[in-house]
Amino acid sequence: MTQRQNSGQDDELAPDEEAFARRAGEKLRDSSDALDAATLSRLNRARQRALDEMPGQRDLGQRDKGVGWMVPAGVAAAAAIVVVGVWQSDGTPSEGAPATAEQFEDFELLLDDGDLEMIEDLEFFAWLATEDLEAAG
Amino acid sequence: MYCSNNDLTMDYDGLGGAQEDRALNERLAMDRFLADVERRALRIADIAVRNSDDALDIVQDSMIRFVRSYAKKPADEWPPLFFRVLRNRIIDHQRSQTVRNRVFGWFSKSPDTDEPNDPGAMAPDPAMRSPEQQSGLDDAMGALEQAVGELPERQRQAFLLRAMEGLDVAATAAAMGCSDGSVKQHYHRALRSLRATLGDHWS
Repeated sequence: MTQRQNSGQDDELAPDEEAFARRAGEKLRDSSDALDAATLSRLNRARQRALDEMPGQRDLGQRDKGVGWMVPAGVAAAAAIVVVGVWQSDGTPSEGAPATAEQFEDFELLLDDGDLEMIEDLEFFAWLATEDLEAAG
Repeated sequence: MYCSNNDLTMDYDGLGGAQEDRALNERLAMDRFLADVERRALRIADIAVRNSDDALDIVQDSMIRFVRSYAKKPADEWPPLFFRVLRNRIIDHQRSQTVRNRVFGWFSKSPDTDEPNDPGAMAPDPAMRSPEQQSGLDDAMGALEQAVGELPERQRQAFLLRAMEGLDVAATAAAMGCSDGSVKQHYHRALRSLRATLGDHWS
């Protein structure tokens, strides 16, 4: 705020002129701070649009987007591998044997790509599911 | 008021790399700068063109042009550069409006009277305001806004950049593309004019 505090000092203004300028400046700044939500939203969008035009930001944005789609794709692929492994853990698909409720719960959990921690230890998960299958069979 | 690139640090695990960190920090610094000036920039544009939608377009366009051209400049040079871009954009808009009104007036020449229509009367009212805005003109703030809007262009710029934005004389001169002496002259004249107009409200 240093610049604002200096306003008028280097113009050799008379005290009453300086006081007038200070009051008017404050009024205008206050009015600029009292914008409605819709205008503020439009300003924010305009700013984000401008920021995307910064040199070097486009490359970064593309890289972000690349990582962005790779994460859920990787999670889905890992989940599919685990599910297939669990289903065929006894060598062949068990025809005629309906899947247990626990298996469906595991499947739903694994497909929830928002929960990244669930696939951090795939070996443990596979073992846990195998134990459930053996207990059920 | 304005932040420096050096004030900001961000560790962005996952992407990694000094280049990404630098780009993110630059974006963050620019974001903070623009967020700081955007409302006052909108006020300046609104007073100049007296149309909220046009003013928003001008500010957005100014921000885009500014970051494209000056994002790599040191942050302490940004304020005068940004307001110079804004000033140029406002002038461009006013010129295009003048040409549009002139062309519009020429094409809408009345066939019956053979008298040319007044372009100003045919153009949308530049001061068209909502009821809330109109009622606001009755108070001191409205009177100030109107008086500032009626100042000659250079005086208005000097006043807004000095009194509202708080730029010093040198930065204002850089923003206006003129000398320090010219800024002082325009600022003094603006103050004298405003005090004469607003005496009852502000003395």
